[in-house]
Amino acid sequence: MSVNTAGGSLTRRPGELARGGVNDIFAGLVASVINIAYGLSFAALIFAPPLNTWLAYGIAVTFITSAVTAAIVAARSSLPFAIAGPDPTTVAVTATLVSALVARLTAQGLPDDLLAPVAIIMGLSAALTGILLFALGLARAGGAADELGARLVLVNLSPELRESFRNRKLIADDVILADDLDRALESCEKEVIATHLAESGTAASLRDWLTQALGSAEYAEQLFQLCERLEVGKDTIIAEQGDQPTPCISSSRGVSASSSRWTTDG
Amino acid sequence: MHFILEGRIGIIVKMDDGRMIRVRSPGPHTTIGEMGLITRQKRSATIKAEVPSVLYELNADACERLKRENGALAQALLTYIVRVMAERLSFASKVIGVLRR
Repeated sequence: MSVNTAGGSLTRRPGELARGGVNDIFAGLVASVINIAYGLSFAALIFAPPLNTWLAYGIAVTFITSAVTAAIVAARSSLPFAIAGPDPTTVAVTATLVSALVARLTAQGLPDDLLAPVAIIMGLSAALTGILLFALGLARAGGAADELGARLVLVNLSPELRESFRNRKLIADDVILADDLDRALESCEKEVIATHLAESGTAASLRDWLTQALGSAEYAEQLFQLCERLEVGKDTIIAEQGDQPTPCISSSRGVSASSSRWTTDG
Repeated sequence: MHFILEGRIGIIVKMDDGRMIRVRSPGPHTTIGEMGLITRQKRSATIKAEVPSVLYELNADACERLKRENGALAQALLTYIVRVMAERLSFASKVIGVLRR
């Protein structure tokens, strides 16, 4: 589920409460309509033929899970103005899993009841996604995953599903769609090589940045000479609240910072 | 003042009731600590690396030397810092405006 913002209030003067209430109700209605539209669209995508017999079941499941999750997030989120709705990327992955399952079952001869295995796949996918997002939230690792260059790669999609994903904007532009696992690995390898080439010029990158910021390559070089490079490990405290603005590097976990000059605790 | 080249840095503020709030986490090609460099007041937040990071530090002594020996460069740097802080103030004002609606 993705978290969006809609209306809401922090501290308000009494005169603003009525207007804020109307805004909240209107925002809630808009969010509800959007969630319903998304729910219908996602259910239709997951329960595409030959699963369309159970489309009504899929819509009901989507609506119920959306409502329950939205209520939990609205009540428990640390962001008081946040709501939740179905997440397109998760739906894309679920649709891929269901599509692969149906393809395999088709190859082996379709069983009479496809609903049970599909429901199990959807439940497992939702549970794993929830656990993963919860763990990422606990570790605040979402940004770190982005920083490490983590990207979603989808493989073995049918042409119809690929077209549907791209046309309906269900997945972000940086999601990689590959025909098969070999091509996916090749694509990842190229990305890794490109990233390493970019990282090799850190100092040049600072000079370029300073040149743009200061409007002069000469200024950039002079300022660069005054700066000291610091390589710090995860959880290294670079400065403490309340300290005087003097150089100070310490590590909360005893991990040393590699630098030409650093002191501990002040 | 630090120039972040690689990694991600967490800006954490300790509230009066003891809670620690992570207010933002700037990534590459952003600066931190420029406010303290100018005002010379105590640091308003704790700065902590969230992942292995590479920074370039312009410390207070180097900044003083810069002001004494290279006024033109100090002026250019100050202009850049003011521009960055104006952008952040503008962004913060927009956020407050959205939250108050």
